Amino acid sequence: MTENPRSDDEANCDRVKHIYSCIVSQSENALEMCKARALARMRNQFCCCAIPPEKRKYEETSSNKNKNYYANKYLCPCLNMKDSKQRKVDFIANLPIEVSQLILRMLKPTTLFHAACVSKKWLEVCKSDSVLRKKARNHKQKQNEMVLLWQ
Amino acid sequence: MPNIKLQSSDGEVFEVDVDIAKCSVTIKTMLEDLGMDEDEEEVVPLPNVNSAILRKVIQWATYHKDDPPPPEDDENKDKRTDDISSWDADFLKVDQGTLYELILAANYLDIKGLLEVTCKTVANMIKGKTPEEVRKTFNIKNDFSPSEEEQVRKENEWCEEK
Repeated sequence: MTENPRSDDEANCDRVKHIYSCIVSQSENALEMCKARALARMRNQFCCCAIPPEKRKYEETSSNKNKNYYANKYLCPCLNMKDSKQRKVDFIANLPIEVSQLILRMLKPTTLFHAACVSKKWLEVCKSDSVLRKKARNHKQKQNEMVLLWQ
Repeated sequence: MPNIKLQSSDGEVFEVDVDIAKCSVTIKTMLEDLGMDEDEEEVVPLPNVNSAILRKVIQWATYHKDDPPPPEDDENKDKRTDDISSWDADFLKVDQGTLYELILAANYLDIKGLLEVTCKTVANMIKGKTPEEVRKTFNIKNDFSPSEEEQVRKENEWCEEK
């Protein structure tokens, strides 16, 4: 062990990263529940080492909110973990457009019409794909024919 | 079986059977282009995939290594989304953030089978839902005004030939 406090910080940080990644890697279902709890507990215990040494002074007088801020800023990105397990993602808006189109092409026409109403971005993705437009058009036409038949 | 080393964005190195790694068209092309010798101690860097996701991708590829190549797509044919194997369904019981990163990785690594099954999983989350239910599922803000939404819903003019 060295006397240098900086290397201690680094060692601590490595240790935390290691423990975190161990937990992250064991994503068996049974572990999912305690994972969130363990992460929260460990963040409380170790988040101080996530704070870079030059920011230490500031931290000494600051609240838990700041600790969490640094824990999120310096620990989570390198492990690609977000605070909440329930993190939700707008897939269609954020994925590359060709992947979003691939997903929407898997929907039945009725759901596709619903998807177009979700948000402006979703509408834009529907509009951008000729295959999706054709699918929706065919469905619309069929519906119109049905109406005519009934009349 | 010869192995190659894959390095994730956060620096972790995974040793993988070449045949398993080659289910990624990106890696396959890379190896061919570079003319890498299979017994060479070269490490393939994958700057877009972190270790947690790469571990899952390798797990998936290992399980599916003997699968026949997926058939060519017919874009006009409806794709089934209810044919996800129980192993895959179990494998994809993850939070939305992980599923999102898996899709990005499958797309970047060009692993058709994994991309397809992850996209099907998302499609199944949308299937049969009203717009409001979809928004709730993915935490999406409705940025249409009521009249705009009404218009999209009623006229569906987005699908008309321009």
